[in-house]
Amino acid sequence: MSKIKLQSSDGETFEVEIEIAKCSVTIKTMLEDLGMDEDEEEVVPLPNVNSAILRKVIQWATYHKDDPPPPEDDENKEKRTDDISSWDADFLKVDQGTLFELILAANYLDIKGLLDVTCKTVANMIKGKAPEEIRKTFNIKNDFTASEEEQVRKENEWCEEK
Amino acid sequence: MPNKKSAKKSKNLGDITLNDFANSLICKNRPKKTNPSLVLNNFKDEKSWDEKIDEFDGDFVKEENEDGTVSYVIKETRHRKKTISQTNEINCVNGNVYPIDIWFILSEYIRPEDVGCFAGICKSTYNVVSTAKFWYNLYKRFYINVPNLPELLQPECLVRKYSLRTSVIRSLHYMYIPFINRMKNISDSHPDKVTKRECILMWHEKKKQNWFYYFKMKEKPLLSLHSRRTSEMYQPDLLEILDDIYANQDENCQILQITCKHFIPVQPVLGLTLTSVHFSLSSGFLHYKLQLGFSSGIQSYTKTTDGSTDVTVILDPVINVKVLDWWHPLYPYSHNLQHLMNQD
Repeated sequence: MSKIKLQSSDGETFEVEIEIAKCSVTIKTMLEDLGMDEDEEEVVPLPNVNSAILRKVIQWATYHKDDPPPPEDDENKEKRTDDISSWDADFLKVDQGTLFELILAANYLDIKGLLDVTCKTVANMIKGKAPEEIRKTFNIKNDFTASEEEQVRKENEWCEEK
Repeated sequence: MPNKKSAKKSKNLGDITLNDFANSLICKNRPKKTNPSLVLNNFKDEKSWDEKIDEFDGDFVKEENEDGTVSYVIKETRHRKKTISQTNEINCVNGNVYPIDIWFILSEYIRPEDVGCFAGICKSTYNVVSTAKFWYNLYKRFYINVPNLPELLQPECLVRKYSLRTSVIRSLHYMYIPFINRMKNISDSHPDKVTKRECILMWHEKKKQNWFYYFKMKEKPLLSLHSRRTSEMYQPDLLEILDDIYANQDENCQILQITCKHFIPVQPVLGLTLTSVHFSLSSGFLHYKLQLGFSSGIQSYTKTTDGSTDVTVILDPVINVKVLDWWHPLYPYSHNLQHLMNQD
């Protein structure tokens, strides 16, 4: 089985099977466009992903390597968020920072399945929570003033249950 | 008797003579006045006495002197316990700031009922919710072909950015099951909800056997975040107006809909503020009697002791009363773009 080397932003190199690496559309396109030969000992640099996140991405891609290709994204359909497999749910039991970094990595590497499952996990954590609770859960900085916060709440009265 | 130190100090006090200026020692550490930032910094550092007191972290401590007398001295406390509010503040200030890309991606997974909370997380999420893409996407994700969806809320009519948010919110109340259920659960509402609002429009119509009276009641709006960008002084051009996804002539409005058994002549109350509501059983005990007191000017904010009002509207017999928010499917409205055209 031919392998490829992926280099994280902090310089760590990971050797992975080429088929696993190709679940990333970004890497797949890079290999095709640059005409990288599978026998070559070229290293693919991934400057937007650090080693800790890249390790997780490879772990996810290795588990899902035999999955059928994800269906074409239909933006006209409501996205279900209750269909996360138990393996994925366990895999994503990580701290909030890692979860957000995984979303960014999945988006950069264009791995639809991983992006989908990470976003669904965050969306589920947001469901029914007040902004303050969400900020606390994900340790997000509140950059609103008190009056701005009140205005945002007033603007969105339409989605509040009375 | 003053000690030596205080005596020395008192020597320096007194009028400053010309000689003092002429023979004064040159201060080498003094910053040059040509450097404005330094001068400004010095000025900023100077605090008033009350600000210094706030910063001071000390307390009176009882001390016994050698001669047996007791005196109180101010001592600075070294370890002050942090209050809960202080720690909370630190957490708020030190939270993470995530790139806006992440919020754009996540916004595609947000349920309609979570939009408000999502927008309220931080300014980035608010900015994402303020884009036309977000609202087009929300509409497409939850669009279902329902027979009662008005023509102006059909996909082929939702192509312009003008008032897009308003149209999508209205559409969701026809298409999105949790919102439809919410509307069903809202039973008859008490007209008390619209007190302190100004009547900006009123009309009545006959439907089947009953007479419907409508009062459009407007609340004094807060200056919203999006309208801050377009302050009163600033006149946006037509293209900017057409790109305004927030445009909503019914913002901060509610309709008071009263269904009556018979026609009842009603005095005009346009421009008046609803100040009192009396809702009681009608003489036959089958229907209700509704008494609405409208006042103008300062009277609307201060309740008079005798409860007097400028105009009192009495409706009797009343079958039901509804207070409709602008997003309610029963809320009567004209399309915002038509309204814009009429304004020339």
